[in-house]
Order: sequence, then structure tokens, then C-alpha cells
Amino acid sequence: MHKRDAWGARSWPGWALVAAMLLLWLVAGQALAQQPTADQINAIARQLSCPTCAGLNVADCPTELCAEWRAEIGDLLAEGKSQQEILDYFAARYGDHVLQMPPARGVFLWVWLLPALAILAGLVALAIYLKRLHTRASLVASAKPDESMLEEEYLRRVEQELEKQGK
Amino acid sequence: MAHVGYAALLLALALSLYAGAAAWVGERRRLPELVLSARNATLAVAGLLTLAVAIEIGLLISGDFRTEYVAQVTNRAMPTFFKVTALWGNQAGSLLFWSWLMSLFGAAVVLGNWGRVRVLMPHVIIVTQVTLFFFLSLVSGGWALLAGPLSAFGWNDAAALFRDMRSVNPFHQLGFTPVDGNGLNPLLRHWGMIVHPPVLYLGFVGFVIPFAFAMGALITRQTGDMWMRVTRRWSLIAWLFLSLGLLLGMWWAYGVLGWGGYWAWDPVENAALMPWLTGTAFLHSVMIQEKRGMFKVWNMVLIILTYGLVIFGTFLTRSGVVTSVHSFAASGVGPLFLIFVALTLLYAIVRLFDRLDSLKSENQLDSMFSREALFLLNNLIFLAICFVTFWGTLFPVISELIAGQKAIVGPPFFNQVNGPLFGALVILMGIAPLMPWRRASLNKMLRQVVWPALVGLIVTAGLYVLGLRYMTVLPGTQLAIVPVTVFYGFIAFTVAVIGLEFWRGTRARRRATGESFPRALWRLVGQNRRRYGGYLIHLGVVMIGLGIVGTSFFKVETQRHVAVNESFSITSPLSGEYTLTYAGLRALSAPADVERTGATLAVSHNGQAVGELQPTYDYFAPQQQPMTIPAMRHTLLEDLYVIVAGWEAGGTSATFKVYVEPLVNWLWIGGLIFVLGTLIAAWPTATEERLLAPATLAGQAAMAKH
Repeated sequence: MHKRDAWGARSWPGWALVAAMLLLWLVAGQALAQQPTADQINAIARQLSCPTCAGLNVADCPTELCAEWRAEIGDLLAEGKSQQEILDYFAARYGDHVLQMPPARGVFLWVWLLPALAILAGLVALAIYLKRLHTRASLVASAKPDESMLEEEYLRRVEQELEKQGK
Repeated sequence: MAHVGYAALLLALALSLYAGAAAWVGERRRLPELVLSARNATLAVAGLLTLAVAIEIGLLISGDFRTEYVAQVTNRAMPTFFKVTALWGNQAGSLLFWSWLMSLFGAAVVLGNWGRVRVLMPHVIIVTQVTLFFFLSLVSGGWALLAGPLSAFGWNDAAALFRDMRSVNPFHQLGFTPVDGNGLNPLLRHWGMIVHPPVLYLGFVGFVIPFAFAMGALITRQTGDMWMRVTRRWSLIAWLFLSLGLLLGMWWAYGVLGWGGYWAWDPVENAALMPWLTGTAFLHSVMIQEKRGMFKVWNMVLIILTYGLVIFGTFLTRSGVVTSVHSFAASGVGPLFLIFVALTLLYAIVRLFDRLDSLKSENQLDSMFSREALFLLNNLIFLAICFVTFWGTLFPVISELIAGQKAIVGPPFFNQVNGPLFGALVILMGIAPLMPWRRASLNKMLRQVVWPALVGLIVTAGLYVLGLRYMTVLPGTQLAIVPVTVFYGFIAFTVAVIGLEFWRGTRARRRATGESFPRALWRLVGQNRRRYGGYLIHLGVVMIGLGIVGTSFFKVETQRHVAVNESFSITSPLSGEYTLTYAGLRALSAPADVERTGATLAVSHNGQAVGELQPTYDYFAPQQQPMTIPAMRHTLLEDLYVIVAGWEAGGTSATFKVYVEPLVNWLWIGGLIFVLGTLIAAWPTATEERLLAPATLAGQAAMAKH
């Protein structure tokens, strides 16, 4: 039972063709679209730490495990995952310590917080110390004539004399 | 033969204890013969350890595998000269090497300064010999004797750890003779191994001397100029070696390890960097003490901190408490180092508090707007970098203790936090020479700053306009705020200031003496070595900064799998495009235990053929470990850096990693200028020699005043 459309033609071949094209497009699209290059994989692998070697990132590490991880990154990229999603995936599975850049959460919060507090404390301490010395010095200076101003004036005149002689 | 070496070691151990004790008693009871005896013992220790080291090297070269250390680090197939460098290839040998260098420095100090600063000598002997005694106690394996009592108490784990310390003795004999040894780790089979560890150790050991003088000055209340003058030369020498050691390490990592980088913020690298940071802060702030008699307490704190960090650094490297590519295997030495550094720091701090009255400042700070204040800021930044490095390195240990989770911190953390701090130092390097002592007038400052600042601004804007558009991102966000060209602007500013200083000085001299420009420049530097040597050092540092900024922000890399005669290209951010064509694999000649394969690539730059590069793949059969050695093409602008990561089907196709490293050679050029500057600054002048020699009555009178 073949339907006939307005122009009197049989419609099922047309639909079959469209279906075939759709299928072809889906398959080809998947194969062609995201075959990630080594550089794309490395760009993400560089941001993960090798879980077994000390201090190497997954892009530079020559071990089997890291090669597996790079393959896994490749698969995730091919699925269309973004960089952040892939990093989150590994962090969720293996722990935050596999991220090269420590996140600001959990125990890693202190990695960032303590240096910031320490530097702030140092600046404050320096400011207080300088202020205290300065107040003490200006108290002392106000007691005796301001030598440094006289010294400046003297130096300026010496410089002027030298300039004159130089010419 | 090994027994003779061990006997020499034990004798040195006993004599170093004797030297320290004799110096102490002799100084207390005012018995100069005893102090002289301590001095002779110090010299004897150096002689004995030289003998021990010579014997150890003999054992290594002759392949006496019955000696455990020789079996650990050498094998029959190794070339002879690597057998010599194997002396510092692992724990036991390197501890002996460290001790030997320490004894040589101790001997050099007593020989060189005996006539000059006699009053401080006993204390210098005590400090150097006590440190040496501790290290020798480890090397002699004596602590293994504790294993018995510990296991008697039931502490079997600790007992086992101490029993293992017999292996820390480089002369320890095995119960049998192995047929062949393990050989040196392939990563260490490079000429860098000949220079980097010894130079670095010289730097570490060197800093014990200023600390010893500081302790002596503190105890004898001679906290005036004399201590400063004597220490200055030793501090500068130690600092030079430490800086050179760090630079050589960077060069080695870059040239051999094949990951295209030179600094990984590895715990052992950080362990060497931290004393360098406090040592540099110390070198700067003693200038204030010399000029204005201020910050005496602070200088003491800095040198104590530097010594503490040196010993702590050896602890980090040798205890295995943090994992590192450099670390030796864990052993009982770790806790002992920690106890030693804790005790010495405690002693030093107690002494410091006890003698605070002798460290009163002679002057006041006149203005917050002065060079003194800038030096304090400089110190703060150095200490901040040191703290950040310390914190990041030890975070895994601390987090494990507190949260039960070993949280390793990667390089991006250190780069993110320390980068801006180093940047601030670069700016300070530019401003400080323009800032006078005591008090600066704002107008004068602004007038002097205007031209260099303009240069900086032009460079920043110019590079941006020319196409260097990379922006740094605010951490934790996607906000791009600062163009990287700003860092180049800072560098240009500082270079302009330094250049102006040289020019102004030479011009003033020419006006006064009518000399030609080169001669005036030469004389200027010669007569103001500290100042202009210092400027050269800063210039070197800024050039190193140039290389670091270039490689950190503009490095380009790619990884390709290519067949023979297939080409690929990589675009440099500064100089166009490189095209590389794979020509094939070739077996190359190599030492007996190495299988060396070279992969040849024909290189053309912007269409013009510029030669061949041949990275190699070295396979070390005994350890079953491969190394990818890079091939490089160097220009002032950048390096083209290639490694071969692997191949298939006998070489019909191969995988390459290629990096373009912009401005990297400025790291090494800057390093050379840095070393030159330090040598100039350290070179003794006639005046200094006269001040230090009590030969004339005037000299002695001058000494007596201090």
C-alpha cells in the first residue's frame, strides 16, 4: 500500500533517502568531528598531576598509567566535554590533588589563604614599624635643628658651583 | 682499603668533637694553647676527610663492589668519569662529600682569618666543628648502634630505621661481593652531574661560615663593623656558589630532561631556593647595617634563618618526607636532621635574646621615603617568597598531619603567587638606586624616575601594538586584566635605571679626569666595585627575568606523529614558522650500557633550510630506563627544542614533541652577567685589605675600636 502525494509520486523512497542521509550524517559526523589531536589532549593533560610519579604532569609523564589517562582525556574530548568538565571529572574520581592548580576548596583552601594572610600581616607589620620609627625620629628631630634641610641647601649650592665650573 | 678510609673517617669524627670542645674550654678558661690545639685539630680533620674521600673515589673507580655504596652507584660498564661523580650520586657518598667540603671551609676560615679576628675564632671553630660532627656522626653509621637498645624497648620500627643507617656509611662492606653494581641513575649521567651538586654543596656549606661568625660576634658582644667586614666576603662567596648551583641545575634540567622546562618547584629545588632567598635578603640588609648601624637584630635573624634553612634543606632532600624526583631513599637520617636543626635554631634564638642589648641601632629611620625603607620592603618580599615556597613544599606533610590527606601542590600555585612577588622585586631593583639614604625629596625622585619610566611605558605599549597581546588572567576567574607586555615594561624600566647609573657615573668621572669613555667606565667600576658590581648583578637578574617571562607566557608546543619524509610545522610567536621533516632513525655510538637512537629532522625556518636536529633516545639496559635527550637550535630570540618520544615499525614513523622557547637564552646570558657582577663586587680592594689586617699599629688600633 503505497501512498501517493499531491504530485502523484510515491513518497516512501523519498523518506527512505532522508532517513539514510540522516544516519550517514550522524555516523560520519561522529567520526569526523572530534578526533582530538595530541596537542588538544596535552593541553588538558598538562593541568593534571601524575598520581604515581612525583611532580610530573600527565602530559610529560612517560608511564603506562599516564598514557591511559591521556587516552581517557581523548575519549572525553571526543564526546565533546569541555576542559573544565574533564578536569572536574578527574578531580571527582581521583581527588583534588590530581589537579596541578590546587582548587580553592577543602584542605586546599589553606594553601591559598595562609600565604595571603602572611603577606598581609607582613605588610601591616612593616607599616606599623616604619610609622613607629618615623614618629620617634620626628620627635627627636623636632628637638634639634633640621640638619638635613641645611644639608640639602648646601648640596644644591655645591651642585650649582660644579655646573658653573664644568662649563 | 675501605677499612683505612673508615678509620680516617672515625678519626675525623673524634677530632671534630675534640676541636669543638677544646675551642670552647680554651675560650672560657682563657687557654690560648687549647684554642691553638683546636685550630690544628680543624686542619687535621680536613686532611683526614680528604684522605677518606680519595679512598672512596679509588674504591669507586676500581669497582670494589664488596663496598655497599660502590655496588649501589656504579657498574662495570660505566665510564670512569661518571664513577668519580658517583661519589655524590646517592645518600652515603654525598653526605661524605658534604662533610669534606665543610671541613675544607672550616680549615680555610681558620687559616685565612687567624691573624685578623682572633677573638671570634674559637666560636667559629665551635660552630663549624659541631655541624661537622653531626654530619660525620651520620656518615660513620654510628647511630645504628641505637638499634639494639631501641628494639630492646620494643620500638622495632624505629630500630629498623636506625639499623638501616649502617648503609649511610660509604665504606660499609657487604657480606659478599656482587658480580656487578646497579649503576648510576640514568638521569644523572650527564656532565651537569660534575658541576651542579658540588657547586650547590659549596653554597650550602659556605653559609655555615657567616652563621659561625654571627654566633661568635653575638657571644663575644663584638657586634660592630668587624663582624660585618669579615663575614661579607664569605657570605658573598657562599651566595655566589648557591646562585651558580641553582643556575646550573636549571641549565641541566632544560638541556637533558626533555620536558622543555627548567624549574618545576620540586621540593628539593625549593630546598635550595629558600636559603638563597633569605641569603639575598641578608646581603641587602647588611648594607644598611654597614651604612647606618641599623637592623642589627634583623640581620642576625636572617643569617640564623639561612643556616636553619640550609640544614632543613638537607633534611627535606634526604628524609623522603616529601616525594621528589631528586630525593634519596628515606632513611633514619631524616628525624635526626630535624632534631639537629631544631636544637641549633633554639640555641641561636636563645643567644640572640640574651644579647639583644648589644644589638642596639645606632641611628633612627629618618623617613619612610628612603632607601632603608625600600630595603626593608625588599626583605619583606624575599621572606614572603620564602614563606610561600616553604608552605607549598610542606603542605602535603601538614595536610596529612592535620586532615589525613596528602595534598600535593603543583607548580601553577607557586608560579601564580611567587610570580607577582618577583615582579615587585624587579620594580624595586629599578627604584632603589634612585632613592637616597635617610630621606628622599619627592621632586628629585620624580625627576630621576621620569626617563626610565617613560622607557618602560614605551616598551609596554610598543610591544602590545606590535602584536604581543597575551593577557594574564586574574586567578580563579576568567578576567583578563594585565597584558604580559607590562612585565617587559618593568624590565625595561629597571634596565634603563641601571644604564643611567653607569652613564651618569662615567660622565661625572670624565668631567673630573678627562678620560676616554671606556677608560672612565673601567675606572669607575674598579673603584666602586660593590656598587657597580651590584648593578651588574641586578642587570643579570633582570635578563634572567626576561627569559622567564618569555618562556612562561609565550612558549608554544606541539606533539606530532609523522612518517618518514613527512613534514609538520610550528609557529613561533616571535619569528615566524619552522618546518620540520622527519628523515629517519639512526643508531648512534654510546657508552657500553646505553642503546642510543637518533631521530633526524631537517629544519627550515620561514622557507629557508637551516640545518638538522637530532634528538636522541637513550635506553639504559641495566636499569631499563629510557631518557629522551633534546636537540636544540639556539638563537637570541628563542630556542627550537625537539625530543623524540617514541617510534613504530623500526622508525618508519615517529612521535616528536617540539617546543619553541622564546627568549630562553637570556636566562643563561643573564646568569653569566650575574656571576661576573658578583665577582666584581666580591673582589677585594686595597682599602678593605688594610682594614682587615692588624699588621700595622694603625690597623690594630682600628680593630681595637671595633
